[in-house]
Amino acid sequence: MTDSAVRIARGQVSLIPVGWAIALAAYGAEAIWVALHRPAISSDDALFLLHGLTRFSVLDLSPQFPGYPGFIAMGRMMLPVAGDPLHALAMLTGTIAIAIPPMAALVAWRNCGSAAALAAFALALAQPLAPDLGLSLLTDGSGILFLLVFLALLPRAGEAPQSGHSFLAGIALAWALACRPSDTVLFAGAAIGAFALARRIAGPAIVGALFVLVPVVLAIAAQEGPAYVSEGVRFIGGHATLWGNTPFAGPGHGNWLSALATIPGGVPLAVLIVAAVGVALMRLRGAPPALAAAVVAFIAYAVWIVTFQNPDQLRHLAPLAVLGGLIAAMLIRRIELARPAITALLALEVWCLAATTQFDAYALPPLSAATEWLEAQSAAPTVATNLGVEALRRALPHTRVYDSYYAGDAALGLATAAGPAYRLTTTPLAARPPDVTFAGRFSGEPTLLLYRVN
Amino acid sequence: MSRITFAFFALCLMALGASPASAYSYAAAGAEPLLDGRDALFSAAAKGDWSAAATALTAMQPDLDYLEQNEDPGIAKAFSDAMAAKDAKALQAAFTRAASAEIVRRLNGARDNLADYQTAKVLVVKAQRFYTAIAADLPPDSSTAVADGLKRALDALGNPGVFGVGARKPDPDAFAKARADVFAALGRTA
Repeated sequence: MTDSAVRIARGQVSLIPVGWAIALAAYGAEAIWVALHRPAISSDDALFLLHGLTRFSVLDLSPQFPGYPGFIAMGRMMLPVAGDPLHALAMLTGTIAIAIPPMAALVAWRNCGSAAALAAFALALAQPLAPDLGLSLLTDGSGILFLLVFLALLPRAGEAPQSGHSFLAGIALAWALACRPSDTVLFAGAAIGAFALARRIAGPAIVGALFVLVPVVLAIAAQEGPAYVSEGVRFIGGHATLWGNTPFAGPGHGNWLSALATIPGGVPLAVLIVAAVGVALMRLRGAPPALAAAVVAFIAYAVWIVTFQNPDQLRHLAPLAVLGGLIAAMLIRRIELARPAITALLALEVWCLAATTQFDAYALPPLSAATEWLEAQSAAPTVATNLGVEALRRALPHTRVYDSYYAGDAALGLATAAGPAYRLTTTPLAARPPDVTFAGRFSGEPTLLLYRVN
Repeated sequence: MSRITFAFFALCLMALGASPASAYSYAAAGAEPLLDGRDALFSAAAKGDWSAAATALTAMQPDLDYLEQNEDPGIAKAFSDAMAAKDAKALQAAFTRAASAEIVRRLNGARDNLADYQTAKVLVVKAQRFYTAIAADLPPDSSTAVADGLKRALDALGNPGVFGVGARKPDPDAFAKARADVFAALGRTA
């Protein structure tokens, strides 16, 4: 062994600078890779957010309920820089995704030192849903980023809270809520965890939150009126019992509970994760409020996901991936097994990221690729799909696009089509290969399969 | 804090219990029997289960009766003829006709409530929901024209702004033009 190898083996040389060099190189590569992508609509939800940048109206799907007012406000601020709504949306979501690893590192560094900061940075960077946060043009990353800002503003363990910091923390958490109201449970969990360990921050933080929430609520009320409330009731009910694929939906709908049971090793893995976070919960005495907030947010959000979210949308797991990495990093000095656990988690993340990501930065989202393919056909086709109905209708005005949710309507439309008829679906049809496959670019982006049916 | 948590979950449960949604759509509040019953009707017709189709049609009947009396005399016969002939394509055409009549009805309502932004907006959005349901069944050029007209109708409603900032008054002329274009694309008269 060389002298330096011997010193490393004896722990006389810190590997942290080397780790940072590798992590920053990977970070630069990921940032460039995200920036190289041509902005393109990947879903109807992204299309609706795009509309919201020029005309905010929840009833008119600009964007869809609950409206994401904070995210829309930031997107509008990007408009003069980006030039058009699509580039503004891409610039905003890309910037937010790229800001998440350093913000996670800041939280860990403030509370647990440089080794934890490196671990938090690397785990946030390598989590397999990072490309989805940066490229799907959706709001998921914004809630996570401002939640991390909230955590970064919390006092350290044993530190006397400063009113100014607590006030700003409240603003950050409320802004996270304004960006991503659908993650209310995540933010409520973070607030409960933080306030439980540092009660004196609650007052200033709540005042700060009201500084954001009151104007936002009044602005929504002025724009949408009472119809916003009834739309909310309808949307929440519909999501839970019909299209959201939750355990409350009727027979024939999948949900997270059944999905976990079908994933090989899914149930043991879920139990392992819950047990690991449970161990973290047991070690919270004397812990930094940021760690308590992250742990309670993780548990609350995990319960929310299993009971109220759709297993078809992996991006809903992104807060768990980021918070899970942050919790592991912040436990680096509190639990002996934290270092090997972090190494194993990082290896698992890198493997998942590499296995699920198309590294071609010029690849289009499956929906845009399918649109281009259909547009290139000489005879205007008829299409039935349950993904991107609105986007296809806007992009292909001469194509009849049926919503596959209305199966009877779509079946009649396809059967009586004058020209070629296709089904565009994420579900393989039994006993035949698809005519064209539009591959998802990363974990969380479903591959679309095109079948000619007539 | 536990009271706040309890109140939050109670609100969630109330929201769930209050009104189960009956149609997949992100937009617009309130029950619409024609839209809500559409999938059951067409699924039954596609399978040739005309007894189930008749059951689905029963829930739509009050709305069809209203259209027959106020908007489109003959619409009830179009449905009954399609059902009697067990003709799924004719049933689909009858639905397209009924949805067109609903679009006309909602746009007329919006025109009459142009001074009330929230009411007018809900009515135009409802018209959009009916359009979305038949978008693929209209001739492509007509479909594009209706979509464009409905978007212009929404723009013509103005905007109350946020605390008055960015407020725009409604534009009756632009609304009338948009409404006329939608009617023309649907082959309807005012």
